[in-house]
Amino acid sequence: MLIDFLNSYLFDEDFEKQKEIENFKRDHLNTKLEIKVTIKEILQFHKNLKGESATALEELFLQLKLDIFILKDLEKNSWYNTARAIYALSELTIEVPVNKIEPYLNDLRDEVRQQSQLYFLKTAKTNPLQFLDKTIRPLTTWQQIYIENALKNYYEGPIPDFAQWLNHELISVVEFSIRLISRYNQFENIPKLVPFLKHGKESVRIESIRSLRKLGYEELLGLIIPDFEKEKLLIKKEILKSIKQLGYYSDLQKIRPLIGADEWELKIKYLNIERYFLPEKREQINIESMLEKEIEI
Amino acid sequence: MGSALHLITEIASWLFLIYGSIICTGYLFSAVFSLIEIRDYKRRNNFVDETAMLQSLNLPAISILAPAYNEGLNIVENVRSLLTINYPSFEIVIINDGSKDDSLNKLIEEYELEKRDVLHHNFIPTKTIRGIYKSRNKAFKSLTVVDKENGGKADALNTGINICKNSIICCIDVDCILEHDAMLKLIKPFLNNEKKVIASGGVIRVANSCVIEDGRIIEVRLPEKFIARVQVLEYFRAFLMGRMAWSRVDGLLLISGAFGMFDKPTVIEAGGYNTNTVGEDMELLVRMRRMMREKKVPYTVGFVPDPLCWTEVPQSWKVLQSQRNRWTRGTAETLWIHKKMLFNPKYKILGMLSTPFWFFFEWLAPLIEFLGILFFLFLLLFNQINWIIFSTFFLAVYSFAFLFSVTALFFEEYSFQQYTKPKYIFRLIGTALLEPLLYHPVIMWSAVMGNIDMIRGKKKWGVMTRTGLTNPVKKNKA
Repeated sequence: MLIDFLNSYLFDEDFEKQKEIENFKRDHLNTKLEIKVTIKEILQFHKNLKGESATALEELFLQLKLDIFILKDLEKNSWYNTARAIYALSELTIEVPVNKIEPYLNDLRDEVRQQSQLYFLKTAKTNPLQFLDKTIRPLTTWQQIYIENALKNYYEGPIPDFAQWLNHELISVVEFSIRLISRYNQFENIPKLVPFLKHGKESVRIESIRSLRKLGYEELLGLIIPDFEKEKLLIKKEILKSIKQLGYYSDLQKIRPLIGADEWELKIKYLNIERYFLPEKREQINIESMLEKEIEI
Repeated sequence: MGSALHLITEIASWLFLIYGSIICTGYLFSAVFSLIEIRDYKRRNNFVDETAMLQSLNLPAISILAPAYNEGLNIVENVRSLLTINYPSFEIVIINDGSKDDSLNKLIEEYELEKRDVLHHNFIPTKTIRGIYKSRNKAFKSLTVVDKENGGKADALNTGINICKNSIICCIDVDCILEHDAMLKLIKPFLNNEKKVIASGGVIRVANSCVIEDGRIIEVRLPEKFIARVQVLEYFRAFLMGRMAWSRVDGLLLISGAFGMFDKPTVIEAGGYNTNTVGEDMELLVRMRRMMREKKVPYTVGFVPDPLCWTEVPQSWKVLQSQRNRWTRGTAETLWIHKKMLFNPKYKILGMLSTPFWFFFEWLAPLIEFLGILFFLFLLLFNQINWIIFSTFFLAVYSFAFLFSVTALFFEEYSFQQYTKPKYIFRLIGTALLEPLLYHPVIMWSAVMGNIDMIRGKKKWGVMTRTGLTNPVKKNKA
């Protein structure tokens, strides 16, 4: 019945829309269950449609006054009702006053936070990540990937300057913006990234090395090789990767005396890069490394 | 003499009753916790479709490690199925654990493999590697085959850990069938947690009789054979009730060897899989958790209740007994190795709840049950049975066992609804009625034998004869 109604509404030119909508409201939207099923079905249809049909469904949703039910749901105390309501709003790009969604950006439940982030991203005309300014709870890696994916797939406006969040209070937001700068090739932000190579947090230093490497910043090696010895394993690995991508064999040689006897992961990485720089000496490198391995084991 | 016998009978009866009551209460609690966890999981996921994330290039790369021993019959198809896994970045490492059949040659031929000198270090000591193979064909560039001397599953997995490139490893059985989004769902706990996640596990389902095409489950069917069907119920109970509940209180001690994801640096730091136990999957997780607790690093273990991995279960009583015998030895060995944790408040929930539960209700339960049967025979011999009380208790225990299985079935229907046909549900209810009488005694006996074999020092795995997972529709036509 519901599916027939939706199909006719969308694709039947002879369908008397206004009259049928009123009939549907009167006959089939009387209980909470009926309303919930209708919302679910409209969202399901919407997911599979684009363009005019999707817009028509959004209009139908409003004409059936389902947004009122959603807004009531939004204000319920249960996190899953709130998350589901925000999801419906963002899927159908129904804009509501900012203050209705903004508090949920820092909700205790990450599901609610994620849906409110998505809502702002999907409904934004410009600056889709402005919600980060209001965010006071750390972004998990999953949320970062989710936001980045949504940014790529749903947002159509101009790409913002990600450097505006480099001084955010949350380390996870700083890392995220550093990553986005390189993803979106914002070369103009290279000078702003360089100071982060000396940041107190290891994870921020890793992100900035990765980003500057991806942006092809040639001075990077001169800034990170001198710190190799005092850095931790993950950064050392990033430095080696950067040498492979941006440097020469002579840069790699500078590292050799700095690798400890039991730093096997680094040794393997080093030797693999050495093979890359000196393909003609591959066999010799293999023999040397195998000997080393046998002695150690 | 008569009063002494009566006294002994009285005390023993009360002890059995108290033990039985505690175990039933434990199961009831686990059912309640599981229900809460399943409800929460459904609420978290019933409106969000995250499969679009599979297109993301930002997801971390995974190394999938699959040991193979004498799998020549299906190895080529199994590897092909693994190569089609839906995940943006992964490598497959097949470890040929000194197979005596033609597994390696088949792989070399089919996947155009050639020996390569891959630099590696034995972070975990293993048996000698004979060769590492990569494909000449770029279509199979994510495939690495390691040929090594036979050392058992744990040793093969350790070799894979030494060779693989990525920091997240997924250890699976080579013949497992994975859901299209299995890797995405299993990695989510690692990425969506404020604490460090050291491992995550998923739900294993029974693939016997299912329709399979190109390494994917096309239609879920209930196994034809009773022995396999009853294991469907067992898996419901184990995963949807047991592990869900343990996951709720962060007390999981076991992630199935058939399908689990781990943080490689933590695995290496803990020393890798233990080659001296047949319960290497449980032992590794317990050791990792113990290590993290002793280092006082906040951490957690993820558990995903979605059905992510399908596997073939034993279809013959002999193979089943051998498998359960091994599971018992594995549990006992792990508990023995980590006996320090038992009732030790330093290990919090693991010491005060998880290990005691495993000790009393997983390891000890079949032994006590067996003692109970001996006690019953003893009473029978001396004509000490009050048949009314016996019948009442027997009926109560039987009803509890049946209702517990039906509850597990209800949880499945409430959550994932894999068995869609009503006739499957009725057959499963029928199976639940028969299980305590026909199946459970065999399982109990296998566990008793497992303990005896362990005392005798048996270390063997036993042979898991697989009939192979094929498409039953095509099979019938042929």
